[in-house]
Amino acid sequence: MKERRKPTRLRDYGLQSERLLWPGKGPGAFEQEVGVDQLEERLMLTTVEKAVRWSQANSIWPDTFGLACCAIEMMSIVSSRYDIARFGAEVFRSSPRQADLLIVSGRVSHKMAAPLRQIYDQMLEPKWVIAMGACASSAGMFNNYAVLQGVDKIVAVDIYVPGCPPRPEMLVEGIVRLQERIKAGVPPAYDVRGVAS
Amino acid sequence: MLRTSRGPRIAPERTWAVIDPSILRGEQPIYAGTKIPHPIPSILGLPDELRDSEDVMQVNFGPNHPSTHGVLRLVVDLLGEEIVGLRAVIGYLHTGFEKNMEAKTWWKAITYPARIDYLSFQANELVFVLAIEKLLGLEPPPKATWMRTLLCELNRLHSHLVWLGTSALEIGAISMFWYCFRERDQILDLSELVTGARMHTRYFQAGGLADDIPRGFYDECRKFTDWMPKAVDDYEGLIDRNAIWLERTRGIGVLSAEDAVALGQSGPILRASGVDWDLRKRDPYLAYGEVDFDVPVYTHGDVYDRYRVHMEEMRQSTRIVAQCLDRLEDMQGEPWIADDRKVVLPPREELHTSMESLIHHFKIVTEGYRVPEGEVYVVIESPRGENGCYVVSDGGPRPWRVKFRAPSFVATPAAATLCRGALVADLIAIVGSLDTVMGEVDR
Amino acid sequence: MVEPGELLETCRRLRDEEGFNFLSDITATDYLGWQTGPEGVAGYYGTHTGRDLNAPGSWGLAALPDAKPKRFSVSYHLLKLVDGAPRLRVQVWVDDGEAVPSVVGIWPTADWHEREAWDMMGIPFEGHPNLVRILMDDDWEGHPLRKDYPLGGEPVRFSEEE
Repeated sequence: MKERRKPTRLRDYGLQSERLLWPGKGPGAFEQEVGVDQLEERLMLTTVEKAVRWSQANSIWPDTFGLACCAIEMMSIVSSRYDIARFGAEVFRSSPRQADLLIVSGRVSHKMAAPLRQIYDQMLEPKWVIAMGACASSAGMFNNYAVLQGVDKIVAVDIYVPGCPPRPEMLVEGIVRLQERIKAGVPPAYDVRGVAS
Repeated sequence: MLRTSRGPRIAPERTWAVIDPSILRGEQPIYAGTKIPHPIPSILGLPDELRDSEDVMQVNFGPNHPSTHGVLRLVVDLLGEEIVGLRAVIGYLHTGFEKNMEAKTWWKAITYPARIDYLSFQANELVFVLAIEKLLGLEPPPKATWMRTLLCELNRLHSHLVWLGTSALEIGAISMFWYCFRERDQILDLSELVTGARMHTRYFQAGGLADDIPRGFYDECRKFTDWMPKAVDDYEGLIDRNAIWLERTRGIGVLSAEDAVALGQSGPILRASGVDWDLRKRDPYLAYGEVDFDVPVYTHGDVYDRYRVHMEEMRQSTRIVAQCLDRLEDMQGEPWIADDRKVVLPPREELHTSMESLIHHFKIVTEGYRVPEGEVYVVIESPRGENGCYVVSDGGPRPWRVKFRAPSFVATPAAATLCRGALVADLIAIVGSLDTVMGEVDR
Repeated sequence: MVEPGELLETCRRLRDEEGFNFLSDITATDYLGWQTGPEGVAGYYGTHTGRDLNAPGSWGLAALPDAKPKRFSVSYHLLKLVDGAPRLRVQVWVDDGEAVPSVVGIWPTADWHEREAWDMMGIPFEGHPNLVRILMDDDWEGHPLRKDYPLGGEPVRFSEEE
């Protein structure tokens, strides 16, 4: 009786390789290069979720939602000194249908709250929200009749970046932390809080 | 055509008809040949023949739009690509500044004006602080005056750079954005060196400056003023003679001088229409009377002339900054804030020894200094034009009424006059050239 | 200071004969509570619960400010575009609800300034072609900058307001 070999071949895992389909074929060029018995060790195996999360995190496209002073600092992270294209935010899409991330930068007045919610609803899931600046996080210095006291009253916020206005590096740190959050598997804020998205 | 401030024309000759009551009732335009729509000057209405036409489409350039102005909503009636009706809706950034400032002491209220016009933050702080000083009768020391001039001119550069970067971006010259923001970051570095914050510094105080100028500032600023003219040459080399830029900005959005004055325009828009008016020359405040600079005036009043005015102003601002630096280097070691202890915080070393300083410090921080009763209207030339602050004080520690006259607030309705007969692509160029900042418009 | 009835004539004369062809600003000011004492010299209360966070500890003024003729003042800031920039302030005093004639026919720039004065203070301008709300929502009730309108906002946590 032949001894049971350790599973090293693809067919031992239940996968078909082209050798089964073409019985007379020898090892392919790739296998020859990697080593006939080392193919399974050398390849990276991962779950689909992790791969998807990795790609989501590293290609977040923000939506142009600059309202006030923080918008100017947000524009400066697009500029060459604090470049966020190197973090994957290659373009700022102006259409919410094409954007993943809504960076609410600036004070949100009550009149603007309705368009903000409309834009947020138009974004496709999964979507994340960064409340940039003190005014978006909690109305900042404007505790009055005209300003919505924190944008988390109408949308679910993932990351709050404080400051008035926050330095561009702070916003980049916020985006990097969001990327880490996504890669770690934390669902977007509307899932966490159980609210409508 | 460039004219310096010694040009012939200051105010346009009055061509207005003698007012008869029908003009006052809005039944006739203010003068013959005007492009200002009537009866409502800020709304371009549909002409009668198109009112029931099915070809007219109303499009909403909503508060959130790809161009980078901020939250301006334009409701535009389009006949094909041509604009036949225009109405601007604002208020999406209304923050209630004036009411909030009435609830804070004078000292705390200085943090608010910077956020109104967030591109030229020092200019807003300056106008409020000048108003307080005028009511108090307080005179800041010369070092503070010169440093304020320098920072205001740096702010003018900052504002024009952001304007140029974003307007060019909207018209399509995308690479200007990156060039302009490179210099803008240098200016903000200087600002951070002096005040500790990139934007919205609370550096101007009633009586002078909040703190002394650090030692490394003069060299850094000198490097910047040496580099800046070459940078402006770069920008001009990119777009000034570019055929596409000329096509898209020449002859677009023409505003005559009489219309500009009637519409209350000021700043680059007025100067591009041929009216030689700059408050820094006509009614000098701060140290502008002692600084040598020219004021660019162009005559056509189109988008291209406004762009040329901005570029020339950038060069002149660099000149002013260099001259202020020269004066400031001689003034090192002088006081940077006035001596009046009832208004100005005493230096911290004194608090350990002098009881009176402690009491002054306590009163100023808790209750706030009192500003004598009165009302005052102070105007400066901000990068956008005439920025004014009307302050009413009742003698107490808090302002009674603060009103900011924002130049963008009067520039936005001018879009209705300028966009008559324009195409959609021109609308973007025109609204960009008006240099509106929505924080100012909505306050 | 000018009476509302004479305003148009005065402005026309200022513009045509004196040469003040530039209207810089129209400001409306509410003087409700102008002379009240220590309760809050600015007349109204700072937060939504009615407590004033910055109430001065002591009044200590030797004299209260002079009384104003009526509740609202509308100030027109005019400018002459000549060397030296001479400025002029024309003030009109009105009560609540009293209308002021609109100067849109004289200086078209007054359009939005007057709309803002109407929106924020509730001063109606007679003859204005388009007197609707400009800064607040179209269906907002109340005139926010009046002294009897609360500042609004939320109570700050861990402060004495809760």
